Amino acid sequence: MQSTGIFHVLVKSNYYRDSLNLLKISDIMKRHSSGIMEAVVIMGTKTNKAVLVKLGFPSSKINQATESDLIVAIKAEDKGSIDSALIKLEELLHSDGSSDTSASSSESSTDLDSVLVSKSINANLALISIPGEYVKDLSLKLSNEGIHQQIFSDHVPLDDELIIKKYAAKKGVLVLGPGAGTSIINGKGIGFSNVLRPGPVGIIAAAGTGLQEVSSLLDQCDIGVKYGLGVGANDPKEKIGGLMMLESLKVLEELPDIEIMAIVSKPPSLHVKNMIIDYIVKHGKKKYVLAFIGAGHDGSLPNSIRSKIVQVNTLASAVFAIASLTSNQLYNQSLVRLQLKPEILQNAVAKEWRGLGEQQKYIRALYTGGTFAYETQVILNGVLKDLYSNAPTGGTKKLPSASKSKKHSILDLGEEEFTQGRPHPMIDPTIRRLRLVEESQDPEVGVILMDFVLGYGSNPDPVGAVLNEIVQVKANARKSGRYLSIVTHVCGTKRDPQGYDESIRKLENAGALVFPTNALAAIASAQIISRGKLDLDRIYSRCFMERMG
Amino acid sequence: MAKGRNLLNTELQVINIGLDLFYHSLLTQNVTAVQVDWKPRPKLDPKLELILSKIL
Repeated sequence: MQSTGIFHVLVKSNYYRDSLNLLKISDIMKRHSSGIMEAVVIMGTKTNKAVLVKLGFPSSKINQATESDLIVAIKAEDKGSIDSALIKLEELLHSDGSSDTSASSSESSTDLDSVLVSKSINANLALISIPGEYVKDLSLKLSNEGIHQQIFSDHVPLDDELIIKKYAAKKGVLVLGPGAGTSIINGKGIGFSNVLRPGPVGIIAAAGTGLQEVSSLLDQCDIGVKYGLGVGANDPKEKIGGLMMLESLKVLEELPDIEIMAIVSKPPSLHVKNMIIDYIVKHGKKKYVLAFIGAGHDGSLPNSIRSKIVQVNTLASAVFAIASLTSNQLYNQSLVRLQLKPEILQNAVAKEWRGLGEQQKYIRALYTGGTFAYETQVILNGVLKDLYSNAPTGGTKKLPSASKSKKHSILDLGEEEFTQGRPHPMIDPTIRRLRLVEESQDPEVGVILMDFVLGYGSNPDPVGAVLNEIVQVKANARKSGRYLSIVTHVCGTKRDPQGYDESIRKLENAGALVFPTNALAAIASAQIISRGKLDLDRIYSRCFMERMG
Repeated sequence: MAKGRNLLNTELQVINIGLDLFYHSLLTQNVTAVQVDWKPRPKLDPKLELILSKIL
């Protein structure tokens, strides 16, 4: 970032706009005049104020803003550019930020009551992305109308979620979420979703990126997914009791064109797990893959059940298991396409660790997808010591502060501390860009691991959005006599709007390593930082267990 | 138990409440969708809110 320029900060009291609308306004303002070096229009949350300070805006003025205030922060070459940007801002705020886009939402938007009364649409699904505190009332109203829901909103209180789901179950309504970014219904992607081929697989997933990874990898192996229902990360927990996981199971079991079912989740509570297995045993007519990531094999399952259910430990292994249930040919194809041979990985990473200095000992993972951050911890636990995360699992320790990494740190940038009043990092790359530069300056860091999620809903060019920073941090490391390894995974399909092959090409041209699965990217990072000394056969056996069978 | 509207075996018709980028993604896939305006209730003075809750 250039250091010269004039800073201007304006705080508008009690002025709400949703974070995505503000992102759009900020982008338009940046493009409005060549004299504008930076323009950020943002709600005054703690996270947002910290971002503005990192961008160089004066903290004294920024810290006056409260969460319900709007902050306008502009950096420009001259005062004229600032004045012109402020005029443009007023115009945009009064047109909801849509005046500069080809597809204006205001042409087709209306209020909910009008939609319900007018019957202009025979709606069977509502997709909800409003602040969590307001979700309950809206959901109960929609359930009364018999309308199913996918709730993307985070920060819905757990007590509200229980009320919402109990009421929906009574009304025969499916509630996917809260926190459900992704669903696939009849081959159509809802929320964050990839362009998939249709096929015989149905997936129930607790988390969005888990569903995106499994469905995209299946697509790459020529296996189609017709339904993917995201029930939200809290659903399999004791308090919610797997209410919607079970309802989803029931509805998908009834569909004759689904032959293989996969359930993808962190390990559910014991009660939920028993309930799901009991249902499959009694009523399941399909083949089942249970991917309770990190749970390992449950040896206590009786043999009669084992023939009906394949258990796996990672997202990638769920794909191999599903492929093995389709045909030998597709299974063998999946092993080749997803590069399941340790020697391929060993060759790919060999030149990376040779460049590392003695001092470079740690990995920093900057994830936009929560399930990836989780899966990486599952894989690296027991492989590397001193793992830290803002969303720890297993033996990983909790970072004292999410804003400061420690030793090996695996960050989920979609967690609450990074998203209050901001678009999800799969949409807005700002926080990851800043963090990438910060982490690269730590002389003890040798590897930076990142995911790039393509598809509907995501940033129009997630790779392009951080490409300059990738080139810059690698060059800066070289200048200071270090080598910085950038390890990545692109989650998507060849038909996604951002361009899967093009995204990979850009990363490789910038000097990054690209792996076909998150699991391999995580193992590669560990192998680089361990200077090639890890026993890959042992790690592969643990991560891709069905390969042994 | 009551039954909600048919969802999985019929044409998908969506009400999008919130982020309009999801609405546009649905249109791109030729899914019938409407965009609903949503704004939070204005925050009232707590005293006024208490009075209103007693009246309403």
